[in-house]
Amino acid sequence: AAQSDPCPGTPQRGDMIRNRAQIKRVLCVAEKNDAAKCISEIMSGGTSRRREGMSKFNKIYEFEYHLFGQNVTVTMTSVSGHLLGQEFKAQFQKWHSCNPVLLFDAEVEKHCPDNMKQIKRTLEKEVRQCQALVIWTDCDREGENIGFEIIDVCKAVKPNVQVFRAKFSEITPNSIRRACETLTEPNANVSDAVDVRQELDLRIGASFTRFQTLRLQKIFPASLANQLISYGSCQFPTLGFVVERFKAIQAFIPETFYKIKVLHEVEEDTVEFSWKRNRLFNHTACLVLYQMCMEDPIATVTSVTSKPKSKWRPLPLDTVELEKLASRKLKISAKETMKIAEKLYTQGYISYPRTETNIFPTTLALGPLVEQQTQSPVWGTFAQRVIDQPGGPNPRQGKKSDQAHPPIHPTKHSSTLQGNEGRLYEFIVRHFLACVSQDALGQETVVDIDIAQENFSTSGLMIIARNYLDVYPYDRWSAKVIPVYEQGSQFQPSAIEMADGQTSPPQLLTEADLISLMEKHGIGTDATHAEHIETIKSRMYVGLTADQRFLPGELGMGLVEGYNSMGYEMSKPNLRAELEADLKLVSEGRKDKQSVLQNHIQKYKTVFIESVRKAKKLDEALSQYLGAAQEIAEAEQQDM
Amino acid sequence: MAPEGQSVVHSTRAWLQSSWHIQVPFAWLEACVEWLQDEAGGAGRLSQQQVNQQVLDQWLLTDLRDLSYPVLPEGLSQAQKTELRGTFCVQVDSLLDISQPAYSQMQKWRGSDCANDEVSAVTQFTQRPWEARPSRMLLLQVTDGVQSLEAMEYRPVPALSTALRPGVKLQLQGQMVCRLGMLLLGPPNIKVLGGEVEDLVERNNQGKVLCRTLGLPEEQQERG
Ligand SMILES: [Mg+2]
Repeated sequence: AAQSDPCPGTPQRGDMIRNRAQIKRVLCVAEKNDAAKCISEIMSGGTSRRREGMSKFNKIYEFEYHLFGQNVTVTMTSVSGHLLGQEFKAQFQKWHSCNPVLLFDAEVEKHCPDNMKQIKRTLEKEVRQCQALVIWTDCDREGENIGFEIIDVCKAVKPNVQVFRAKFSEITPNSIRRACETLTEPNANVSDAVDVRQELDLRIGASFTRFQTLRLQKIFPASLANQLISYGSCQFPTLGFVVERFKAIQAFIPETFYKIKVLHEVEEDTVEFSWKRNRLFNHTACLVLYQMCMEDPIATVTSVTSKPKSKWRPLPLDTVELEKLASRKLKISAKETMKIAEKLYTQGYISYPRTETNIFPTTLALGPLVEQQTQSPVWGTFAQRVIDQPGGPNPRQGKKSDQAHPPIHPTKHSSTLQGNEGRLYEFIVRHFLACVSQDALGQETVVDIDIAQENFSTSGLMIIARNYLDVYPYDRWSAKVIPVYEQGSQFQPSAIEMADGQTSPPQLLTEADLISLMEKHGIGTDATHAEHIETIKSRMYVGLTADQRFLPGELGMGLVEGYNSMGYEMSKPNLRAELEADLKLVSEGRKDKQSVLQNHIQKYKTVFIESVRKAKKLDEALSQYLGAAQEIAEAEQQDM
Repeated sequence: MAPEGQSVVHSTRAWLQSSWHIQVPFAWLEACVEWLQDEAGGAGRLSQQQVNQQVLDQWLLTDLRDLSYPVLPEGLSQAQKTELRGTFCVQVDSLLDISQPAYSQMQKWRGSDCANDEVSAVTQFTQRPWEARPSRMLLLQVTDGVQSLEAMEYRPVPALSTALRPGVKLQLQGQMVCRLGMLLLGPPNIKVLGGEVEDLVERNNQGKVLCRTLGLPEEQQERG
C-alpha cells in the first residue's frame, strides 16, 4: 500500500500543468559540487553566475533557462552524497547504554550529521525563493534516496514546492537537454530499498559490532584492548571468501603426475606435441605407455584440420568488468577506479560508471561517440577505421541490462588527462572502440599424430586480421608457426620424453577474483563491492601480499572460524544474498518495505541470540591465534 | 557324500567351467553344494539348475584368496613384457581413477568440493574446442586369489566405474598385453560378472583408497 503511493505532495498531472505558470524560480540539486558545476555550465552555455553557499565546498550557480515552457531562473547547488543518516535515538547511542540485542528493535531516526548541516541550511534558504525543486542526483538507488533526503529537507520549510526528477546517464549537452524535457517524478520504491538497507546495516552492524568488540576486548586484552571489531553483513561474507581460499590452499595436497611429450625438430624450430591423455597420476601406467612409444617411435599424422578461429572483442563495459579489468590490467584498485570514474563522469568525460548493463541500447547513437575519438593522435586512426568499416560501429552485445544506464563509454574526447585519470580514461576509450570494432581473425591448424596408438596433438595459429587488438593492448594473441604436415605421412620424432610435474593449489584471491565471487553470490551491489573490500582491509581482517593478493589476518581467520563453528554460516553469503534479492524486489515495487525489513530483522536477531549463547566458540577459535582466553564471570557474559 | 551328490558337484563344476570359465577347487565346490543342500532341507530338494545358480552366487561373494586356486599364468606379474590369451576370472580388490588428482576426487567424495576454488576473474577467453577433456583411466588391483597385479583401463571401458564394489569379479578375455606387471585392458577384454567381498567393501571403499593414495589417515574418509 504505502509503497505504491506517489511520494506525498507530488502534484498530480493536472496540478502540474496548472501550477507551471507560477514557476519563476527553480532549485536544482545535484549529488556533488562537480556535477552541479558541469550541469550548470552546459545548461547556461557557460554564462552561469557563481556565488557562495553556506558550505564552502558546495557552490551555487545561477542562470536563466527555458523550462516548463517558460523562462525561469535556475539556482543550481549540490549536496555531498547522503545528507541524512540513520541513527538510534539518543538513549541507545552509547555503547554501554543497552544490551546489544535491543538494537534490533530500538527506534531509529534520520538525522543530519554535523558536517552536512551547512548544506542543509543552504537548501532551506534557497528553496524558500523557489516554486519548483528538480532533483539532479545520480540516477541509481543511492541517488534516488539522496533525492528524497533533499525533498524532505526542502518540503519541511516549503511544503508546497513542486518536485521533479531529472533522468540522465551522462553529463553532456544532449543528455542534459533531454533530461530537462522529460522531467519525471522521483521513485519512492527505489529510495525505500535504500532505507531498508541502511536500517538493516545499522541494526545488524551495531548489535554484532558491540557484542563482539566488548566481549573480545575483555577476553583478549593484550591484543584487542583498543580494537574496534566491526561486523557487517557484507564485510563478513567478503572476509569469508578470503579465508575460504586461504584454507583451501592450506589443505591442498600436491600430487605427482607423469606425461609423455613428443618433440619434432624441423629446421630451426621445435614443435611440441602434447599427449591427448594429458597426464597420469601413476608412474608405472605412464611408463608402460612410454615404453610402447619408444619401441615403435614412428609418428603417423592422423589428421590435419585447419579452421577459422576468432578472438572475441570485449563486451560493452559494466561496473564490475571495469573494476576487475582496471585491477588486473592497470593495477588500480576497485575503490580507486570508482573514485576516478566518478570524477570522469561528473566532468563529462564518460557516461555514468555505475551500471549493470552490457548491451548498448538501440537509441544510443554510437557513430558520433566514435567520431569524437577520431581527433586523438593515439587512437584516432583506429576510430576512423571503425567509422569506415562496413555497417559502422558494431557493438558486441552482452546479456545484462539494468534498464537504467547504458554501458560505460566515453562522452567526449580528451588528450589532457594525467596520471591514473588519464590511464583509466584511455582504458575506457580503448575498450569502447574495441567493442564496437571487429573480432580478431585467425586460422588455426591442429595436427594429430599417433605413435604406438597413443595420440598427441599440436596446433599452430596464423593471425589474419588483428582488428580490435590494434586498439586494445590489454589482450594478447600470439601467432604460432608450425611446419606443414600432411595427413597420412610419417616422421621420426626428435625426442619422446616422459616428464613429471606436481599439482599446485589454487592461488590466493586477487581483488578481481574477490569481486567475481561477490558478484556470483550476490554480496553487495556493483556500487558497493569496492567499499566492502576496503572495509575488511582497513579493519586489518585481511592484508595484501607483495603481488596484491588477499591474505587473511589472525583476527579475520579467528572470527570466521569462530562463527563457522557455531553452525551459523555468518561468513557464508546466503543470508546477505537473500537480503540483496529482497532489496531488488522493494526497488521494483514488488515487495513491501516494512515486511522485508521485519523479516530480515527477525532472521538476523535469531542468529544474534544464538551467537551470544555460543559466544565461547568465538573465544576458542580466536585463542588459537591470540593466545589464552581471559576467563570472565558468567554474570558479565549475560551483559554481552 | 553319496554318489548322486558327487554327480551334482561334477555337473556344477562343468557348468561353471563351460558357461563362465570359472575354475574352483573341487573340495570347496563339494562343501558348497553340501551346504546349499542342507540349507534347502536335504539333498534332492534343489534342481541341478538351482544348485548351479546358487553356487555361482556364492562364488561371486567369496574372496578368491580363500580358494587359493591360481588361474593366471605363473610369474605374470614379474614379466617385463608378455602377452596373455584366454579367459580368466579374477577379483578386483580396489580401483582408482589415475587420470585425475586423488585430491580433487577426495573433495568430491566428501562432498566438500567447493566451486569457489575455481573462480578466477578471467571472464573472456577464447575456446579451444580441440582440447578434449582427457578420458578416465581406472587402475585396478586384481587377483586370481594367488597372484595379484595391476590392470589399467588402456581404452575406455564403459562397464567399469569407481562405483563397482570392491571384490567384484571380472572375466578377462581375448588377447591382452602385460607389461611391468600391468595388464592393459580395453572394452573387448572385460565382462563384469558382479559380486563383492564384504571385507574389501569395508577396507577399500573409494574414500579409504583415496586417503591411502594421499597419505591421509583413513578415518578422514567420512562422507560430508
Ligand atoms: Mg552516487
